[in-house]
Amino acid sequence: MAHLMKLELKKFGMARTVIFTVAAILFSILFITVSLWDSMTDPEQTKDTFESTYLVIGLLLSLIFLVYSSVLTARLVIGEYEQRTMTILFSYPLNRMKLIASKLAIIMVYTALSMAAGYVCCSAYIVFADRFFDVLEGTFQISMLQTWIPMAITMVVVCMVLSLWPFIIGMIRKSVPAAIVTSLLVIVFRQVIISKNETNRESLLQILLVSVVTFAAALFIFKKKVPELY
Amino acid sequence: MKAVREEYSLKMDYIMETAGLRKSYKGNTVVNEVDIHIPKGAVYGFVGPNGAGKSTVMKMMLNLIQPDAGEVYLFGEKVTDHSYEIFKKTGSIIENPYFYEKLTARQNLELHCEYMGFPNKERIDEVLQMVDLQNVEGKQIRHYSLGMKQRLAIARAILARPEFLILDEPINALDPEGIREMRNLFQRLNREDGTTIFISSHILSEVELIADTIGMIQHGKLLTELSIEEIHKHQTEYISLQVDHAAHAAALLEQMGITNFSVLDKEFIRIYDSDISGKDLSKLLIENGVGLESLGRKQDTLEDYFFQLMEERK
Repeated sequence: MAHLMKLELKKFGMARTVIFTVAAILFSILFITVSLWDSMTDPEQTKDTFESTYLVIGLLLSLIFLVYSSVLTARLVIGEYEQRTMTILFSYPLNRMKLIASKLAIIMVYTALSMAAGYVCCSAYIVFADRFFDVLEGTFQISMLQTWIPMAITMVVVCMVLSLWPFIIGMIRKSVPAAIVTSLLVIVFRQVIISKNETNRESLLQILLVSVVTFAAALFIFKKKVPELY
Repeated sequence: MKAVREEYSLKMDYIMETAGLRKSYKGNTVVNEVDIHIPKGAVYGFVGPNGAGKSTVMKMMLNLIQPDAGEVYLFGEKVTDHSYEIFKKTGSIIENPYFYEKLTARQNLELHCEYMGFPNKERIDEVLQMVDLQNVEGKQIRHYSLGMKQRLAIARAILARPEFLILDEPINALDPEGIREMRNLFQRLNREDGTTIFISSHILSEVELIADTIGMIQHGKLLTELSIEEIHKHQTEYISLQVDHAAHAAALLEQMGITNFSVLDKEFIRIYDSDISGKDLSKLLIENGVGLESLGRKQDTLEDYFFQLMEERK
């Protein structure tokens, strides 16, 4: 499996993906800066709090990286069917399920790592920005991490699981647009679900439920759609 | 059942067999009860017109599509989703030559080595030389012509020294020189390395030059499976006449007592009596005012045999 993942990275090259991650994090920081600047300078607005800014960071990162995970699904999986290179891969002495699983593992790990990196960078940015420019209401307390860290872990795990949905829907008709649109729908659906929770994040039960449904759907696609080349 | 099949395969020394292969798409049967037997060390020509079901059979052989019924045995082992290890000993070209277009030829071949678990990367230089692409190996595939891609696909198929080569229309898009070079390459691989080759083509004359066993398929049904020697026995010798007035010439032949002939059109006649002297024939025709354009002894081609067989099966 590790060898297959290595070959996938070799085939598609990770430089572009790493550059995108850095650019996405910088964009998020820029977005937060503009938002904070706006609330500071507009007399009709009140200063943002650490809590609300942290929620914005989560929303922004999930939006960017879930959409990008669908782009990766299109490149690594659906693109191989469209370009017919999957025919070549399937004629190799390889377990086809492992082959596709290695591609999905790359997408899931990438989503998790880039979101984690995004959280670290953006959170550090608001802490330092507040320390030097007092851009937020209140001051940063170490105790805030007790809320932030579980929130970030929940978000990373959920997004990692949700990054499978572009694969699930996109594979039905081996369609790239379907994969991309699915990622957007998943984000909207998730926001609707968590907006009903007081903590603004999924409960453990919800995470388990989403995971079970996602993995069951992925398994179904593995059995029915992955072997289907023509 | 499996043990019986293995014993049978070993006895007959078949590298690949199919038994009762059947495949339908939307109620349309494209492959129907196909039993193929590929002897070890053979060059098996799989011929038939476009749409006859050749590619579908080959895809089933490689487990790229599932048959509705029937079985495929490769190296005596039944091909299933779990038997992918046997493909270590095969090389293939199916349909068009597909590659990672943004990678170079060498990078594509390196990837092939990795996926096949073939450690000898020095072989890449050898195969690039064999297909005459050594000077363009650093070019991205998207800049290759279709003919170059076809050559590279052949290089990839033979790279890991397969015991069994499955080649679906491998000479497509090649120029006449390329066709001759690749034919020589396949013959060399078969002769020197003992590679068994299963080659499909709708160009029967090309297959005739390379294959020692022929399988003919039409409308998804295998018409026959014979060695080339057996086919030669069925191919009749004849005298081909080209005259300016075939009807007149035919009447003269009948007067001469020759009845075993056929008039193909206004100019061509075939006489299936090889004992007749060409010299006497030309003398008779010329003396009776028939303009003789050409006269020669010929033998039925594989194509003739194929059409003859099709007629018989109608």
